[in-house]
Amino acid sequence: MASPFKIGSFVMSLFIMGNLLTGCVSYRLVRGTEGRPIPPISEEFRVGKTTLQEALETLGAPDQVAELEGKDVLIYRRSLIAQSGLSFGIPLVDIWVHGFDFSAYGRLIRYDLLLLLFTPDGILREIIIEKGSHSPYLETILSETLRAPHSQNKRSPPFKANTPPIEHQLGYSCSQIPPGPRNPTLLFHLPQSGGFSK
Amino acid sequence: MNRLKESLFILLLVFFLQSCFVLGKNKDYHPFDRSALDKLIPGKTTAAEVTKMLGAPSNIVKLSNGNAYIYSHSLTKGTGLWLVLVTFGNYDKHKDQVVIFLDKNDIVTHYGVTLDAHKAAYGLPF
Repeated sequence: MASPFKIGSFVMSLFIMGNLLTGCVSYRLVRGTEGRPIPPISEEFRVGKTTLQEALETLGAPDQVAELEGKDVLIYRRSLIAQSGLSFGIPLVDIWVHGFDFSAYGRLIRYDLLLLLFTPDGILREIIIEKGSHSPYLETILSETLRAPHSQNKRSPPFKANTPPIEHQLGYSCSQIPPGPRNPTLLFHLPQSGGFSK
Repeated sequence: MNRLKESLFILLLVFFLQSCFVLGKNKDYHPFDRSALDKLIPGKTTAAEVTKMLGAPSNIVKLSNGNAYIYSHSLTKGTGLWLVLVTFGNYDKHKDQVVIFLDKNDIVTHYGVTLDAHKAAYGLPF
């Protein structure tokens, strides 16, 4: 039979270790989705033929509407948020002035977007699709440069003579609609207290 | 062997005693009467009748040939699970949205309806 002192010290060791580990190492994983999946655009959507009424009946209410240089834009959007972080630290602040911790975390928001541009008469003029969800999480967040979006664009002949592309009218690429923290971030944090110095 | 089992049991006990599970719900509540949507008649219903039936819109957008009234109501469900060393979180947001297009004479021309708020669900991120 094991000595009660040995069992007691073993349990105490586990307890202390568990508490210390809580402060030392942690991993966080958060996922979020906003909005419904963007429905696939079937062949029945034809530039120059499909009407605003048909689009609304098929796709429902858009998430956003806007007016752009005489054209009405319906925006259907789904956001996928992925956040993960790993931190490691030794909580010595209570017993020693300095502490040490290291953490790395990233937050990536990807958008699936469908933009439908209509003439004032309610006729479809342009379709823009982007599937941000096709970008793999790790590859995208660790990349230093922005990847080319998985996008498709169907456009009718110019609505007006010399009408510039929508990207020029907006001043930024459609893949950046809406403006937000699209760029992946990867941050490393070291506290100023730097536990290695005395 | 028994010692190993005891150790594992105690380790698991320590692990789960320090865990926590949370469910949360968040509503962006702007009520509108869904039955009133059946009374919207394109080409006939006026902007005044729309606001009388559905109340003040959440947003108004100027369009090329009139305006759009937007009625929106969203529901978010969040789940959190804290274990000793790992934290998992998840949230899901869906909305009910009605967009009503009005011409320059404030007559309804088209409208689109999406009623998805009830699809928001609790879950874990894997």
